[in-house]
Amino acid sequence: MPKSFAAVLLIVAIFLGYLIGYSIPPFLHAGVFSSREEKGVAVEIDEDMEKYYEQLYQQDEDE
Amino acid sequence: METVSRKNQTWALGIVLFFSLVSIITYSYNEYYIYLSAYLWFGFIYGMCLQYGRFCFASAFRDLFAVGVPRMVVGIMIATVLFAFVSAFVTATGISTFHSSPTSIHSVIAGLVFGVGMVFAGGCASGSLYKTGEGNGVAFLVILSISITQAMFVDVGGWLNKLVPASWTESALSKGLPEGLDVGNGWVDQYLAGYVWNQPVTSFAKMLGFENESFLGAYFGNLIVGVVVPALLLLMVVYLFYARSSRAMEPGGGTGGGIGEDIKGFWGMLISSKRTALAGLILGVACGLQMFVMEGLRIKFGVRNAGEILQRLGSDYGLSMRGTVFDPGYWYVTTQEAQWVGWLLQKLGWKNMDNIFFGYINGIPNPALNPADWMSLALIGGAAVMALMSNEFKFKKPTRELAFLAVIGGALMGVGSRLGLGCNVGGFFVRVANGDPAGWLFGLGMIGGAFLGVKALNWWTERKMEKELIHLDL
Repeated sequence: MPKSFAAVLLIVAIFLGYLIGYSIPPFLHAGVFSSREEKGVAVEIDEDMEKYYEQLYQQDEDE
Repeated sequence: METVSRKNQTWALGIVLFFSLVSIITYSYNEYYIYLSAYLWFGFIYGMCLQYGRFCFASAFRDLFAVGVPRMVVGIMIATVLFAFVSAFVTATGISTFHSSPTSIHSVIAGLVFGVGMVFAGGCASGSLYKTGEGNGVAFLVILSISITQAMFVDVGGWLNKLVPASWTESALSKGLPEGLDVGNGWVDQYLAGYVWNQPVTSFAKMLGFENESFLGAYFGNLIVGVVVPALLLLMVVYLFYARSSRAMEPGGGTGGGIGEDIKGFWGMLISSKRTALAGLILGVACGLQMFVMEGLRIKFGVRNAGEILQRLGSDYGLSMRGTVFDPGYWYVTTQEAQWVGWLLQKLGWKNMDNIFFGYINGIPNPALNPADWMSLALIGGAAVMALMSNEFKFKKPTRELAFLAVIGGALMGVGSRLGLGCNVGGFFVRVANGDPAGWLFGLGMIGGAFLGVKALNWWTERKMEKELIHLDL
């Protein structure tokens, strides 16, 4: 295996490792791997936000 | 691995360093960019795997139907099963970002159109991406054609409205969608809201009475019943109709040894495609890891969709009416291709945010900030790195004939993708591996379409050769 290819694999592995490491604490914090019944955090777009985006679109149309 | 020229090595390192710099600089600027970088690095890995495993559905079915070589079809099926193992684990742990799609005959029809298109084009949606990374001009044309066709198809109405059944229009209008959407105008809008959304959304686990996230649901329902059994049946059909007969013609081969000989032959067929299977295994693990990472980032930032990330980055341009953008959380190919052309068309004055595909679901964010576009561009980069490292990178200019087929095939794939809500990756590979019956329906259509496409291409080639021979006689 050429050294340059090994370098490519190493760089990919570093970024991948960082991403995986970055994602684990939120799971632990949200209790996904624990016995807690409610997993993760539920985030929903509320009605006000939905209205905001609709109006935003209509403003673009008017322009 | 054979000797790689210094020039190739430099280019390969240059590409990977470019993506590294993009990730580091954007992350230093704002932490939220890590969300886009996650898409980028998984795309890069997909590109490397696709190029290494020659993961192209078009080549696979063309080899099977045109010359009776099943090696790549077998490799793809094995890859799908291996991916399904990873998916079952991800689903059982409750971190899957996958959602089943509506199941009905529309998936078969969509697959049929897509299958014909990919054979004409000489590459499926994923195959065209990795081949573009190898410097293949035809594949690049195919991507352009898929992208443009989709972006236009999702917004056109006019005379196409006359082809919409009244029941679809009535059902679409009764959905109470936002006023900003022109649901009664546009074939795809009425198809989606008036027909597709009315179809059942299920999985093999649910059909057997299990929850997707339960052990039995994930491993027995979705994996064993939904993937392993149908894949084995398909492989047996391939063995009986293709591998067995070619084995009989080999010196020392034969089918006279009874069932023992057949089992040996079947196993030989399975292990003949190690490269594609290995790529499939890594793809499967990478797809599972991507789901894990994306879900982790969503929990970390408290978002359910990248639209909120883009808004926090100060870019609310091109978000859908619900504030969303296309953010599947796993490997996808065609939707982001439609988005970048959709964005360009809007910049040129085309009002295309009043349709469901762009305006209500996926949005048309700036391609520079579109997470899924980062994935596709990095996929091409990853494929280029692998091609350079195996001395397979070469710029290939398309001939007029191949360019014509690329445009026609790409257009058919674009239409098929939008009808089936996905391509050979999002519509088949990912869905089947996650226990969605709609994936198999799309696959059945795609196999039928590939068969018809091969027959049509053979007819066309033979006719052309006959004409050339007549000229030679003269």
